[in-house]
Amino acid sequence: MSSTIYFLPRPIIGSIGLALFTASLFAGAQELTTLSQPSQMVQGGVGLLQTPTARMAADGNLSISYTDNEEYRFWSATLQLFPWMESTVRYTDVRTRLYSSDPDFSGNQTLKDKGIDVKFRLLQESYYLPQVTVGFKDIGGTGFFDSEFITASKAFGPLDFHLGLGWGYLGTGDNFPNPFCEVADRFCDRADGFSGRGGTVEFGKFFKGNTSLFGGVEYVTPIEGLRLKLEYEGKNYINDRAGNLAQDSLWNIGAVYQWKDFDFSLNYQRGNTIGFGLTYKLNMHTAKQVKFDRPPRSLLNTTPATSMQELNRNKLYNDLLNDGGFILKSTYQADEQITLYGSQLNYRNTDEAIQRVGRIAASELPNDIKEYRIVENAGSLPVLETVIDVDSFKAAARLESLENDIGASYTRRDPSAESVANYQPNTTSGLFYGAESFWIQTFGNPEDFYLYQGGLFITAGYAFNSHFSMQSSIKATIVENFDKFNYKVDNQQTPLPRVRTYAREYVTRNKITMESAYLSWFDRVAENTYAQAYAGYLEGMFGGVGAEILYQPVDSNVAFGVDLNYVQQRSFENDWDFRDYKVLTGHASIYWRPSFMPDTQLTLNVGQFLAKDKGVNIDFAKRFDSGIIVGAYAAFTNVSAEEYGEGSFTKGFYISIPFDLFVLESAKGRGKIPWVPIARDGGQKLNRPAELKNMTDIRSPFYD
Amino acid sequence: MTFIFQTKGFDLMRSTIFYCFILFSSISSAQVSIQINQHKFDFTASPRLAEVLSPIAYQDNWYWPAARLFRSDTHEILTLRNKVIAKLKFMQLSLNNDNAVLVDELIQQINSWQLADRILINLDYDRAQTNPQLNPQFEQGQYKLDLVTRPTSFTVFGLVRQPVVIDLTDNMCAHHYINSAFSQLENKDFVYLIAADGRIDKIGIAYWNTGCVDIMPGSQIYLPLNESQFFSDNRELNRQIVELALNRIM
Repeated sequence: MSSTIYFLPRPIIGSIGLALFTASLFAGAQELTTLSQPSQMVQGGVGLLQTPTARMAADGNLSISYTDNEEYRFWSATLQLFPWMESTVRYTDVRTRLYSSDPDFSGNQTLKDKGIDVKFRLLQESYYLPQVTVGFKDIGGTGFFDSEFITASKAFGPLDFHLGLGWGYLGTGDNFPNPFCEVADRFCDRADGFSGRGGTVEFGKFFKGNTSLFGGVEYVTPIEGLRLKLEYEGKNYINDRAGNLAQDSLWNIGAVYQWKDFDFSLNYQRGNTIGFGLTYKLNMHTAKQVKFDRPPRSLLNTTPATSMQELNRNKLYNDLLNDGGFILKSTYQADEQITLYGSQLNYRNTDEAIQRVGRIAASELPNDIKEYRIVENAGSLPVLETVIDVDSFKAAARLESLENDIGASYTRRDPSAESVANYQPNTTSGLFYGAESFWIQTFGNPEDFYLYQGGLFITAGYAFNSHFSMQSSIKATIVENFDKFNYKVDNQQTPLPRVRTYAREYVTRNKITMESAYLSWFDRVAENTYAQAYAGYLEGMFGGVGAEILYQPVDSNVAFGVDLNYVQQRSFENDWDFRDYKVLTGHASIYWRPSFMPDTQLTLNVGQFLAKDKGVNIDFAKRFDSGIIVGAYAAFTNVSAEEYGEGSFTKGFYISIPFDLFVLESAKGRGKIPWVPIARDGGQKLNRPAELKNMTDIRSPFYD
Repeated sequence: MTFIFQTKGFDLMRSTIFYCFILFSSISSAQVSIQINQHKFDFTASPRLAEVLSPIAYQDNWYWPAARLFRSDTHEILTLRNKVIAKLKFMQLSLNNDNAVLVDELIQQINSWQLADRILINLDYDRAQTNPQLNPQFEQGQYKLDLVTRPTSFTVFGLVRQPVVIDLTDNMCAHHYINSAFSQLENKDFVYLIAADGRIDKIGIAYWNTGCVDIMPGSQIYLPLNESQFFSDNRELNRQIVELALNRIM
């Protein structure tokens, strides 16, 4: 199978730059392999059955698996974050053990654990050399299966051979001398248990202790979709979490049948256990949805208005809304230039959005207009201006040369002083309302593995003018099983003020609660600089005052901001009272999109958190071609792991999915699904009612 | 819009008159002039693709994917050729005898090519007539369009003693053709497939990375320099050579 690097019919930039031409020819080059998509191990991650291999799935692949193996059940999700990095999150159900010995705490729920693995590619396969990877299993957990491994894989037609060295859980068989132990004594022994309060990466254990050799072979059979696996594992199962498991053989065999987006697997492990599983695969780069939008307007046979007086303004307004997703708020005309103010509601891709609007304008506005300025708002404030040179736009749209670059006919920039001054919409005050759904879920709880609460946030507000508004949000719970809670706040001793660990009290007080009620102000204060201030009940747990300022140039890779808030903890007994705890919390933030790692964003927030601890929150997000964004964050502060409590520090993951992927017409808007393994009181930021980075996202889109 | 139609086979007198007429028209008002195989056409107003192709579209059973359109009035590709040759010559200085000879072969091959600035657009008369997006307009200038009937072979060039033309009638996968025609390859893992229509693929030919790839008639295969995983120089150079090959007048 070949992979396409460049496909012809797309019009390309002409003789302007051969360098550009070369780059576009080879954009996204992918190397080939014989084997179709590699398959998952029992515990999640690309591999054979119990052992990993050096193979990687295709860039952007997400595999979600469930496997059932007698004593253990695993739910895992493996994401190929980069072509050279694979990451896995996993929940384990140990059927032969109870969650805790206290039936009042956890009933008869079986023992659960979560784990995170990463694997990095060191060497790509070539004629003489195998593919080599290094991996770390169960990092940052409480170490049921913690291991490190180095693997190598080499293919010969339909056969793929694998060999590896494992430490930790993968090395329990101790069938090989530890090469690091030969070099330095400290690698000979491996400490048991975990440091701090769990949840930290145990660097001190890496590559220490018993080592085993493992390996296997995979055969892609002539039957389409069927592959067979044979594996030799270097583990013993004497000290497994599920107990001392009988191991009648070190050889495991299995088969995988790949059908469309599903993998069905069946295996026979340890000479005595049958396992089976199911995997669903999707690719975050290529995921898309069929769209029934009307095609962008052609400019080949149009009859625009002969003059501004003849222009059918209603038709223009409706066409911009229906075909362009652009809701027009106001217009301004001067000589040969017309400015259209409004907001883009439907099209996430900024090029598609501007081209649609430009085509509609070019087909209806009189021909003597030579420049269109499309100004987009955040709320009622202009934040982005795109200037279209009408003649070159029309020439490119009408394909008046062989190689047309319609993108060269418009430029994005900070709204000009003129455009800002001429924005005179009919109304800037009025009521607004909306509703958003929410879904809170937690895994691995003692009462029940999966606890959830879902409902609506209903918001209503009044805008006094384009800068001042007030609004309030009511949280209405519709479905939940939070009534299963056996306890509210945990009974751990903590020196930190309980800024977030009363979470259960807050979410179970009442089905209808006032989430927020505040006044806010938002304005552009200087070129490329925006500011906001807010006062009132800011979020479910805190109320007070705060302000933020952000410097965000258009299409820039870097943005800076500062926010400062003085808040008091809200009562969880009613909607309006406050508890005694007050704090000054704020951060200096830098948002950076490194050019050497395209489609990623790194955010650093440095400052004082809610528990008066000081430090930094680091957030790393990667955007895939489909618009799906996956991110991880962690907060490192002057709170020690002991003081923090279980989990040692705040960390979390999230996935943000555009609604566009589910609906048949183009739509903006996203849903964010968080996964927070542990969140206690250290490293907690205030959930500010609005963030300037999100409000001005269209200036340099990441969340489109 | 007027265009002058010129063919061989007219008698000398009429040819002369025609030549004068053409000359006159060219000087006075032809905006777009295009040579399609042996015929030259002139247009005073910018024609679209369908119009340009219509006089010859059904003259023969043209294989549209292998059609090649070039600009005759620009020569930017020649700068790239000079750059590439210079890089290859520099590389030769640090090679042993056998490898230097192979690179020399490659330099000679590249030097022997007729190059022109190719315009990579979809060339298909039927599609141009039915889909306005595939019917762009020719801007003022001079062009050359090479049309062929369906070829039965593909050419192989690169780090090889002699460029070779291989027949496609056996209906084999790309890697089978390559491995049966060449026993000694500098880059044993990959070749670049430059399809007739401009699509470029990097395909595996070794024991560890092959899948069956079909070769479009009229394509070229480039046997490339070895590429490193960690340094991009050879990869860049290979890509530039592929780009040159794309702009060849075959």
